[in-house]
Amino acid sequence: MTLDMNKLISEVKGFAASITVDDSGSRGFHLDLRAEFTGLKDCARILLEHGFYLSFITAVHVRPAAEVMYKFAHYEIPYNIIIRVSAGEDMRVPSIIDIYQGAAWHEREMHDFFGITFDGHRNLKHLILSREEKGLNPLIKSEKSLKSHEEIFPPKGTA
Amino acid sequence: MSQTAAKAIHYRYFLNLGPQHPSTHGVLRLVIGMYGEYVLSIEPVIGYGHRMHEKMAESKPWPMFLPNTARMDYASPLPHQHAYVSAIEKMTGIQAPERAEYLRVITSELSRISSHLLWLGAFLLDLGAFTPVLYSFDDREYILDILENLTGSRITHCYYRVGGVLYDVDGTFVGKVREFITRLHSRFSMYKKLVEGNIIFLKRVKDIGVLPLDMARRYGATGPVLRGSGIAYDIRKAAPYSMYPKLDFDIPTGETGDCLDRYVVRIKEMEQSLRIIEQALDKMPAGEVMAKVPKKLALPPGDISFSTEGARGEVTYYLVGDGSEVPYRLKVRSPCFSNLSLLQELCEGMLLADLIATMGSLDLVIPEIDR
Repeated sequence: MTLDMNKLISEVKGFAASITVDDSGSRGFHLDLRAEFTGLKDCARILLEHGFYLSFITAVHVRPAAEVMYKFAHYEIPYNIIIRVSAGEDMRVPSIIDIYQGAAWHEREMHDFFGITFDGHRNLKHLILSREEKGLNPLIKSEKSLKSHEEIFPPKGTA
Repeated sequence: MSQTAAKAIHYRYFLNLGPQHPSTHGVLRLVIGMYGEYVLSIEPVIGYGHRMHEKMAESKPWPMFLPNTARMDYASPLPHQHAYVSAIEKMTGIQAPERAEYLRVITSELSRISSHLLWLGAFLLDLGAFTPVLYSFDDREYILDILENLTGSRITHCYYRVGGVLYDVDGTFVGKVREFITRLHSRFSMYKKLVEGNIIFLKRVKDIGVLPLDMARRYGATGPVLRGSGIAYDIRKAAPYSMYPKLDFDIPTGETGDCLDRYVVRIKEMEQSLRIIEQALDKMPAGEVMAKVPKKLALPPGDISFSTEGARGEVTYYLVGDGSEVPYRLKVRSPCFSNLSLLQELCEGMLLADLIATMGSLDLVIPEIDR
């Protein structure tokens, strides 16, 4: 099966703040998308229509706000996509569980580890940590070890 | 209200399965809403074996995390380790010597076979067949001995290093592996006779727990669970790493996606793994098994993701560096996490006994989910 990447890219373009294409996929992603907060669900919907599956959701705590990553891959063609969304100061991102049901557990895990709230998640309770560990958020960095976004993800060309 | 309807209310109840139940393999707890013998809802409760590996990764220099990678998927630890060292090699631009890459392939495939053998015994045990586990553990023991001689540990092997592998192998190892290949080849027909013709086995697994493709996609199912549904998706072919592009092997797939297909796929996969090992032993060149690696190796800023095909599916290590030796963030994508999350949708409405069969066919390793 061949997938029309140009079609896919033109479809997600309207919802993305920036797109980086790397055909070699040397860092593990062929398409690196920075999505707008409001465009995340549309991007996910387009990817599902094109047959992508959700590999994982994760986050990285940087200054000024935690960054949430969604990695997608495809069963028939070797193509990996990463979508990055900034959680903002209030640590909120929209949930994609009505598109990818598999996101439910990943989002609950992120809620445990980072305290990120996923708007629209119907059952955002503890998955890995216990009730007593509410607010523990182990992967939130201390003030001392927290680094800025530019330090961790240097702009293109410098990395 | 008729008398039966009034009674029906009493047929609804909650059943607590686990966390210490033998068929949940490890500490998994299921809270099952039941209607008589039928499953209405399932809520898996996980986290009993949680050790926060991801936090450990970002609190010490990267070489100190190597032993941790063997403690998530204890049934086949080497593909996890493969993903971790490869991610770091890719990030820092280190290339392992060819001999080391072949050794990684050989040991990873041995790890896969040992995991499938463990699953074979445990799965059939779930279905009430006690005998096969005695045979499959007998075969698995050979692999554990081979790997113990090489790596120094029976289960939690810590054998790969950034830039190569820890020890070189000698003729004894090669001879032992070849001996094992011959032995396992001769055992497949015995397994077939022992298991596949059994009418009780077939009734328990045929057309049970059918996983459709669109559900697999929405949940991110990978590995034999997905391949049972007829999709030949294998990281070893889709995003070839190490020496896999140079080796000739097939990706077995099922047709309907039921428990029987997942069983068949794993059995055929073992045969393919033997094929891979045989070729790798033939092609493995002489030479070094470690590249020159600086004593202190800092991880440059930026992120990288590296996937390998574990015994249960896509294993991905997502690594973020910050210019120091300590990773800024490490995310471990374990295949079982996604494979278990689809249980609720897959098993709604089935009989309790079928739920046990379906769960067994998913081949869950709980410490990998809890991490």
